[in-house]
Amino acid sequence: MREIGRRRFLAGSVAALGASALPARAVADSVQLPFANGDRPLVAFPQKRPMLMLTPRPPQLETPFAVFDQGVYTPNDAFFVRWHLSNIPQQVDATTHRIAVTGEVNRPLNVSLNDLATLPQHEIAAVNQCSGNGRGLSSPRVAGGQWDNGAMGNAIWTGVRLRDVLDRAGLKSTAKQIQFDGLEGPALPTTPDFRKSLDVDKALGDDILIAYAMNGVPLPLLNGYPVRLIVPGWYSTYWVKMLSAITVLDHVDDNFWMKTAYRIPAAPCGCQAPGTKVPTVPITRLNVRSFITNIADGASVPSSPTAIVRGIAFDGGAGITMVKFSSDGGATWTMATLGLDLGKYSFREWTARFNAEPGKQYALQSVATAEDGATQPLTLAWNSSGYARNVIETVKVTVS
Amino acid sequence: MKKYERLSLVIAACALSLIAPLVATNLAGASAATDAQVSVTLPPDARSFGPGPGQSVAQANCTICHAADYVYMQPALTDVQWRAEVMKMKTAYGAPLNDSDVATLVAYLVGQNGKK
Repeated sequence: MREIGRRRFLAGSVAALGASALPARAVADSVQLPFANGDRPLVAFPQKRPMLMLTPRPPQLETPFAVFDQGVYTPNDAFFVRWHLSNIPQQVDATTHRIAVTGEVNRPLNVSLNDLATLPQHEIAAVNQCSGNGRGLSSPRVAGGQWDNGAMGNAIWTGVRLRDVLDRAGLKSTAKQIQFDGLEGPALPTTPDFRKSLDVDKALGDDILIAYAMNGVPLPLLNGYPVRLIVPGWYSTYWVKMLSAITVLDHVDDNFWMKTAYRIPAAPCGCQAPGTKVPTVPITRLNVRSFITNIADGASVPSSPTAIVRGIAFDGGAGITMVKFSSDGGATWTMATLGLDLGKYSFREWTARFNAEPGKQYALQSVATAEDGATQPLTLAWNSSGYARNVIETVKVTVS
Repeated sequence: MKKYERLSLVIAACALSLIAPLVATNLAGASAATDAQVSVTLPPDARSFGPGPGQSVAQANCTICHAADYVYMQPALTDVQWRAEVMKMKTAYGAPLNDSDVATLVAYLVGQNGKK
């Protein structure tokens, strides 16, 4: 992460003026995902291009996977969308928006965006991935949002350090966790409001931002306009959108969304046998993953002794050190060439080649290794919520 | 570092008046009432609950909080699995479902998107 100057801060606004308007709803087509009940209409929501619609209310929109081959940063209008509660403001005024900082602090604050602008500005490239990304591919299947692997994206996030805001408020010695709430609310008063918490030590880290820009322009409303929390290296459940309240707690948060939801098996594999109940912990850090982006599963490719395979890899912040590629379903592996290092939280591009002989079929796979030695399993580390998938994925191709 | 941050603070303070226009851009697909106000209209529910005994129970209870798509997106679930979902909605999410309607709703969901 680096601190940025004023000029850069303002440059994004000029670029945004060129953006073109999309119709509010244009059903272009649909996509059949590789699992039962996987027919997804492509629907353009406000500020979004046509995306795979899982549900309209609350909106859950998946990025068409081909987008990941078109650049290392995911365009804002194709960035996945996931809300929990249906009471989402459809009109947000950044000039009147405030973030209330209360609880175990010496000076409660009501922070405006202008206030944020007085703090040092930072930017960081980071992957935002839903805990349930790839849940639809779980076997046996599990209930929940039935995503393929497009509930992720990589962007440059610009904002201020959460720590700098907390320093202004002054944490009391009793502070234990920091709880975040956004403008999203439940339709019923009996439904728990969506709130997420971080330990104080985590919250004070260099990389945790309150971001007002994504890829150099303001966040789309559906991605949390005007400000959202950025927790690089952790699943998006903590990246609270439309951030409106920061409450410093003197206890470990026991609200539904921390105590009951978004938990994974406590075992190191994060896995369990189907039908069993196991102790759980809150989901936190991203597992290492890699994907082939330029060839879709089931595609036909032209023959070539040096057929090019492109992809991406990422992890929870150790940084990607190696990607290996196989064209024979994992029997033999070759080293992929890594692309530019854009920071330890970013997508890392890679390329590999294989001998695509006419008429033959290939099972393409990639496996990434991170700086901490973590890698991807050969078989799915199954859990009953379909969280934290990182099994080696397979793309089957036929050569024409 | 300290010094640089102080300098940055001064620069930021000078540019304060420029912040509002910044946060007001990128209005593709949205309309702006004022510079920094983003207004969107989210689309209506894509589909409704299919016919069958219990349709009105589903319509009355489930759609308060979410579109029917949440049901049809799921893999086909068993009676036991649908019952677990219904009870989660009732107890964890506070759906105002009468105890006497639980069995009707579970049977309806199995009929809509269930398996043995």
